[in-house]
Order: sequence, then structure tokens, then C-alpha cells
Amino acid sequence: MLRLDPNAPEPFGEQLRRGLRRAIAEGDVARGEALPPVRQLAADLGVNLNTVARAYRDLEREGLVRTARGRGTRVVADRDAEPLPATDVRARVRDLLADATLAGYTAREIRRIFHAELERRMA
Amino acid sequence: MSPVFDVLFPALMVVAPAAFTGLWCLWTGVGGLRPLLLATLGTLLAFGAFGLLLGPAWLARPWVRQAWALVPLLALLWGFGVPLLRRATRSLPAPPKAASLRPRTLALFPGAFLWPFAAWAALLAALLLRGATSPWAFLGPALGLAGLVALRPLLRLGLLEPEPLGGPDPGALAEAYARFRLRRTRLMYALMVALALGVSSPGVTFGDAAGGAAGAAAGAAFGALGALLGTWCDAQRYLLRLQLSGAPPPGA
Repeated sequence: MLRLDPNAPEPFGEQLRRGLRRAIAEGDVARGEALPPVRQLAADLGVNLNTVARAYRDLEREGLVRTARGRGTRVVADRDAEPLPATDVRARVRDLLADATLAGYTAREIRRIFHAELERRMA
Repeated sequence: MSPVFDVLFPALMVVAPAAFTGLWCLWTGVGGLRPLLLATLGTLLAFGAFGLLLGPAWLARPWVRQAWALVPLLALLWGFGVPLLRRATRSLPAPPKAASLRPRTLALFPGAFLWPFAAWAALLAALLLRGATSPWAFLGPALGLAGLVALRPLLRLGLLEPEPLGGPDPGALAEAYARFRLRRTRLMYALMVALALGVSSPGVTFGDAAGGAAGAAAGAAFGALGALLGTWCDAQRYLLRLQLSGAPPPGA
């Protein structure tokens, strides 16, 4: 299930892009499966068509989905495909740690969140 | 038309908004029907007084009959029925911005969009065999064909109806949406195919006076079935929104 938070500081488009990436990474939508049509997802979420279309385009630019006329938008990458270089992952984790620290989280709290998320992913 | 028809047709049309709104209230458990019932009773009394004062000759005039059939219908529907539904729906909390990532399909049987065209071609052949030559004879089949061509796109439009997820049990809600979608699609399919093939049949083109009355009755029956389907769909939408909000179902 994809959920958007109207009270979050991020715009809906960004939340949608992240949510879809997460769904693909966690295998909720497997490689080869279709994402819902833009109109359907926009109607369900109560957001503008362009917001969903832009999120799909961003995912296509990242190489996670491919849109073909008449066949809809399908997932072409999965969690096992084309792993990021380790240095990229480290840099992203450092950025995330910096964000969490600036938001007031202690190292202990961040570790607890990381562990909980990893446990959930591996369950 | 007969004097019975002149009285019965407008009276039924006056009663229709209260009947269908009453059905909606019955299915959803929402109250507040009294103002509509009172307005309907007042309109029926006014219609009765009109008939008694001016006589059956006036009721037999087509424009008088049509005016009594349509004006109160629209006034009662938009003045009382639709506001009741809107008030009830607005009182529910706004749906959360959450959705399933599963694409939806029409889920009809194989050949569901092919056999109606074959049946339509058979009806057209029967019409030609009966010796239809006037272009007007082909108006019904042309309308029927247009209905069959529009069938799939119209049914697909129904798949775009919002299905926001949430509530205490999103999984159960998703299943309830799927059940409703399937039933609505099948009922709309049956109604639209029957209507398209009905207007294409040679009996409609070659109908005599009795055939005309039967056609009018069939048209009224299709209209009533369409209104019934619309009312049922509206009631189901309300009940799904109720389930989404986490409120107990009516009668619980």
C-alpha cells in the first residue's frame, strides 16, 4: 500500500517517487509487473494527474520502470539488479545520518530505527 | 395514450426520487428522508388538484404530461434527494491519501466483448431479411452498434473510480472494493448489452401500435433498472467510505 502524508514537508510528487521506489525495492511490485495507470493512482490518492505522471517519468529516468504505449508502465529493475557502488551507499548513509542528527535524533535512536527497518525488510 | 397512462406516468415520476432516495437510505442506514417525503406528498396533492380542477383533457396534452413528469422529478431530486446524499457523504472524514499498487482489470468472461457484435450482426441480418429499406429502419441498429463500440471504454472508465485505502483493516477494505467493482462491472455490462441489442432488434423497427407500447414499457424498465443500479452503486460507495472511516456499519 502506498501512503502520502498531507502534513509532511515534502511535496506529494517527492513522497510518491520515494514510495514507489520503496515498493519496488521491497518487492511489493516485482520485476515485469505493471504499476497502476496514472489516472487510477491519481484518483485513488486524490492528487493531480501530472504529479503521478512526473513521478513515473522520474522512475523511468532512474531506470526502474519502462513505459510502453498500450502496455502501461512496468517495473524493469528489482532489488537484485545493478547494485549501487559501495561508496555511493556510504555517502547516502552519511547524508541520512547528518539529516537525522540535525533533526535532533541521538545516535542510539538512529541505530534503533535502522535496526527496526532492517528487521522489517528481512522478515 | 390512455387516461390511466396520463395519470400514472407523471405520478410515478413524482414518486421516483423519494423511492430511489428511500432505497439508498434503507441500504445505508442514513435517515433524514422526512422532508423529501413531505415534498413528494405535497406535489402529488398538487397534481391531483390540477387533474380534478382542469379535467382529464388537460392531462392528455403531451406537454402538460411531460411537464408534470419532469419538473417535479428534477426539483425533488436536486432539491431534496441529492442534498441528502451530499450531506451524509460530507459528514464522513476525508479519505486518507493511500492506495493499492495493483492495476485493476475488467475481469469479464472470455469473448465478453465479441459475442454481442455477433448477435448484433444476426439482428441486422434479420432486419434486412424482413425487407427494411428506409434509412430510418437502421437508426436502432446504428445506436446499438454505437453502444457496443462504447461498451469497453465506458466500463474501463469505472475502473478509475477512486479506491482510497485505510481504516482499521485496509486488506478487508481492498477486498470489499474488488467485490463491488466486479458486481458493478457485470451489472453495467448486462444492462448495456441488453440495451444495445434491444434497440437493434427488428421488433423495435417494425413495431406496430402494440409494439410501440411494449417498446415504451421496455424503455421505462431500462430507465428504472439504470436508476436502480446507480442508486445501489451510490449506496455501496457510501458504505465503503464508512468502512474506510472506521465507523461501524449501519445496524451494528
